[in-house]
Amino acid sequence: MHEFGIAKNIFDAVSEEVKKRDISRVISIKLEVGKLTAIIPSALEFCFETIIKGTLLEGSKLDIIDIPLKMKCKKCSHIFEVKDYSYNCPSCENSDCDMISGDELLIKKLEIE
Amino acid sequence: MKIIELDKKVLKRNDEIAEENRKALKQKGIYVFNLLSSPGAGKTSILERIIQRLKGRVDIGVIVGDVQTDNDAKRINKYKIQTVQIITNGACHLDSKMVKNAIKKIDLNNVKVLFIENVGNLVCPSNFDLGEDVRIVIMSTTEGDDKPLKYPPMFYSADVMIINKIDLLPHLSCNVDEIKNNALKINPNLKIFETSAVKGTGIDGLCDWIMDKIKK
Repeated sequence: MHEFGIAKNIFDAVSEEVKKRDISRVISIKLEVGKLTAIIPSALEFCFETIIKGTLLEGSKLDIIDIPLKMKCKKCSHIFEVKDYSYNCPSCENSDCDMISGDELLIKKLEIE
Repeated sequence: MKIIELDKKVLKRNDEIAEENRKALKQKGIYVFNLLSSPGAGKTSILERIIQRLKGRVDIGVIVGDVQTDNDAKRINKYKIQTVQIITNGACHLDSKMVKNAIKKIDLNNVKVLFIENVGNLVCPSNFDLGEDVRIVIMSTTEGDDKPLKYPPMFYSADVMIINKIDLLPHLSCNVDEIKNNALKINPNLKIFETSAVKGTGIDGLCDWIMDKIKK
């Protein structure tokens, strides 16, 4: 289960902040998840809920924001979203493009009490 | 209620330890390859072929990751090279901490190239930097030509793709050019090798390239 390891890493990363900043309760965790990470949000939420039971994060919610996979063509600078497995620039057909978003796995914000 | 702006990478700790591994191994002059594939694509078989060719030319170390059993380590151990088996007990990928602990069991003064054979899985290991210099993804001709499109993170993050089991091509509907096109769509910079670990085809070219990498 891919998402379990990721959920455990989120738990560790947030727990570290909770202890460091002496936070009494985390209401929600805003998480940016890029399309290229191949993470299924519902599976991640399920794993996270399982992990936090009986811990200092019990009751915290994951607020997952999907980030689309976007590329920028190195030739014509066209910016496009990758859909239907097409990684080539739709404008000039060039295959050499830079990813500008889509590999995020980032804890953006904590909503705390 | 209060908002804390964090902007913290989920895998920050993994990335930090991976960087420590990379530095420690670089300091010893060790070049590191991370081998990834779906289960049964031929990671261990290719590794055995590489060891047969390179043993005596360069000091090799191997870290093998599996969910259960030390069968792969036993296969590698035959060649009398330093081998550490990591049994993940369920985890579907290796992480940098497991590798850090495994490295402690290796005499680094007697290794110039380290191969890390990841757990067979095309999804999870792609997120986890281990501290490698080069990431090699292996796919076999029996898996379906569209594998790169189905598992883009793996092929995007790899430096090299090996297409294994080419000896089976006469019996399959596999189209090697199609695999290559699909992989290059995702990652135009992929270096591609074709091999048959069973027959030994393409292993010389692969080993020459590995030796070039180590020397640089």
